[in-house]
Amino acid sequence: MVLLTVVVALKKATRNRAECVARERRRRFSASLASGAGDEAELAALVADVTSSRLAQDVLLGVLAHEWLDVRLRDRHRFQDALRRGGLVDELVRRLAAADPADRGRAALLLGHLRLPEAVAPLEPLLDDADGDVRHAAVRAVGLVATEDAAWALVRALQRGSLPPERILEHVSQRWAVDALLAAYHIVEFAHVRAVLAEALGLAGDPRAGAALAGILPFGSEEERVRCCRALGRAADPAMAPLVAAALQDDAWPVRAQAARALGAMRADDRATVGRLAAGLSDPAWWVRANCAEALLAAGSDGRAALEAALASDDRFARERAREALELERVRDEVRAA
Amino acid sequence: MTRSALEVFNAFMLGYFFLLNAVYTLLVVLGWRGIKDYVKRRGMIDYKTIAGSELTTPISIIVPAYDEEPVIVESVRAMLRAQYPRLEVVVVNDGSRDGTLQALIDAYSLIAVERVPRAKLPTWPVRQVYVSAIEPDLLVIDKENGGKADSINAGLCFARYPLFCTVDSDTLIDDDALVRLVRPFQVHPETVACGGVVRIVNGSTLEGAHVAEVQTPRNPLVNIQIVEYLRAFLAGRVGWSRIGALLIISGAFGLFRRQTVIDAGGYDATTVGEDAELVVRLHRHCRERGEDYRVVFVADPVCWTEAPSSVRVLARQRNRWHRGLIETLWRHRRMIGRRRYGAIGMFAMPYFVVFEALGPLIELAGYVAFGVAIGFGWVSTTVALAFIGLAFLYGLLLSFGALLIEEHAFRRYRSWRCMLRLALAAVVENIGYRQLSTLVRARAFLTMTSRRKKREWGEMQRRGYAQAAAPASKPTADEPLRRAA
Repeated sequence: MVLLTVVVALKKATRNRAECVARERRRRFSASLASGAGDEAELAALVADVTSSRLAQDVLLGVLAHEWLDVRLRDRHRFQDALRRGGLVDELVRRLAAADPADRGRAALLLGHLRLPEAVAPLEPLLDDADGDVRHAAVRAVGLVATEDAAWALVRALQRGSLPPERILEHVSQRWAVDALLAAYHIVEFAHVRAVLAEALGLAGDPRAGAALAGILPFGSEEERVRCCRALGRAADPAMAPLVAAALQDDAWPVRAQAARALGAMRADDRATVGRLAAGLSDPAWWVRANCAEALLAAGSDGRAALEAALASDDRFARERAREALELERVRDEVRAA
Repeated sequence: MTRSALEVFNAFMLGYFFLLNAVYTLLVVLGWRGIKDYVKRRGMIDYKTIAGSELTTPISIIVPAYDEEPVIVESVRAMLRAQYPRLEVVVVNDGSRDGTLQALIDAYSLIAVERVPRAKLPTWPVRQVYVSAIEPDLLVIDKENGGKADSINAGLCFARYPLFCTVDSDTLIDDDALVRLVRPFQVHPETVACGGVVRIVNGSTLEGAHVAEVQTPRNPLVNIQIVEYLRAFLAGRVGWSRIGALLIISGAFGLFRRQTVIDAGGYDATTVGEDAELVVRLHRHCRERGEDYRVVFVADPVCWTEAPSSVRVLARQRNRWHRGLIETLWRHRRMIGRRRYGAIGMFAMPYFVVFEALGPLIELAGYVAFGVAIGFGWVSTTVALAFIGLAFLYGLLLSFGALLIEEHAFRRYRSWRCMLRLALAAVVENIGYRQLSTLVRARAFLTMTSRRKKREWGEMQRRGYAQAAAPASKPTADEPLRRAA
């Protein structure tokens, strides 16, 4: 028993020491980053440490993740150049083909966090890696590089279906990728992922997305129309309200439900839209009725008036939805007043 | 004749002992390798994106509640504030006799609404559904009393998100636990269930609903349970998960794919161990349909629960767990030894039948036979002592193995004092506790045959934490018995 206790105690002591070492590393790496890698000796020490120790790689990843954007652009470029000179970049690229998935993933993330434009080409094959964690690390790394090449790499990954689309959307739905998203949108080879591209455009919040989304909404598949409405709701551009309001007449209830929700997000309060939302209180689908009621509440006084008018409707469902929405609003007003 | 029969039985016991410990060793080795692999990969996992992305798969947290008036409001508040991009909290008031529902109505400005359930599972009648005027992510269902499993099924019918987890109202979840628990579903969309670690909060210090500092208590009974939990979760479950044979996901903390659970029939309200039974049924459901699926365990996401600090309550808890295990194995006995059910049918279930379910009976018989053999001098004292010493030492090895894994990968118990307490508990566990546990679990067979079936929540006497999670009144030892962990 004494021996076993000693073993556990030694482990504890070793881990305590490792934590001290990690703290010291963090301090050194942080200083190197801030100074653009410092002198040649410091650079060589950093490269040697990161190359030989997985723990050092984790520490460097942590430092880059938290501090990269706080460092001046000039110092970031100096740091990148220093690491290229010191051979770390070449070593990381070489490790993208390592046998151990943990090594591949770490190398990918380090290249991504260093925002090295030349890393996109060697990273792209990892988007199809056999290991799920490596694929996810690669998609994050490419997203961090944030160049047009990176955008195309992610769009191609969407096309191949190597990851769930949402995982790629999380990284490609940015302003820097909009040009590539728009261009891909019109290419035949990407036709089967147009819906996802549309959603990415909506998430990116770029004003140019509206025109692209407006093109899909009347003509796309059901999934595309749902994603379009969702994207337009996120963009919350009131100019798109008439287009989305027209989708309240769609044959598919998920599209109508998303359209109502999007109109709520836009706080659309023009007369025609309010009229359509009021009509939606009698929709056969529960979620459409519920979302229309919420959208009318968001539409201000005109929407509220429509709800109050619906209390006298012949349609039981419309009366019920209106009652619930108004009751909720009344209680919210009471709570606010209190 | 008697002597030869006893010798045969003792030989069987020796074989049983070695086989059992061989399996334990394999599990610890698999668990160690699983944890090592997890530690290696930890640096490349991006929890930040998951925590901040509106595209992260949303979760419904289903909270069955029965007579929880002192704690329900704060528990719900803590869950609504969980660090997760999109979630809803579905509280199911299971016919509470106290003011649980009224407390929620008052605190969250609930209004009664009509809601059409999104799924159909048989449950006791739902009386009313409420939404909150101030918390759009809160839904409260008031229903007639039907037990915990029945309540969760009712919650499932009204939950709207593709994943759900069930959390006891007095369980504390780590801030990033849901983010860590959802990751397997996002990396491998075929995942249908994922379990996390349940840790014991006794002795730790809380700040609000968060565990600020992890400590061990002075109570040796609780420390023994801490070691037990570490062994079970960090070695056992990691090991089983690694070979795709995870049979149990803790009812206190697990994440499931809602539609798969509904398709499999929801929770079984007629069994005591509804959490274990569900996981086995999910395996069966998916395998019988030839679906590609995963049931996994992740060692990192943590929830905290209070362990029994008295022998009486502990015995009741373990009795209930063992009855649940026996019922589950019996209900799904056709899976045992059948290749169609993969590692579950070929390894996990036979193991649980022979070494877990029947284990207490065999061990008790072994103690008796061994005692008789020693008493009649049919076994030499030296041999007897050597065997007892070997069993003791091996038990220590397994426990210390779990402590090593904990120290290597997680280091939740930072102080040397905690480590020493746990080391001592690992020793003391083998002297009395293990034997008591065997007795209690063996008694479960008797309890099963004599106990009336009723819609039960079980019983747990809460002693409270160092700082309670802001209940209206601090629980005391005289408080009426409440439901079990």
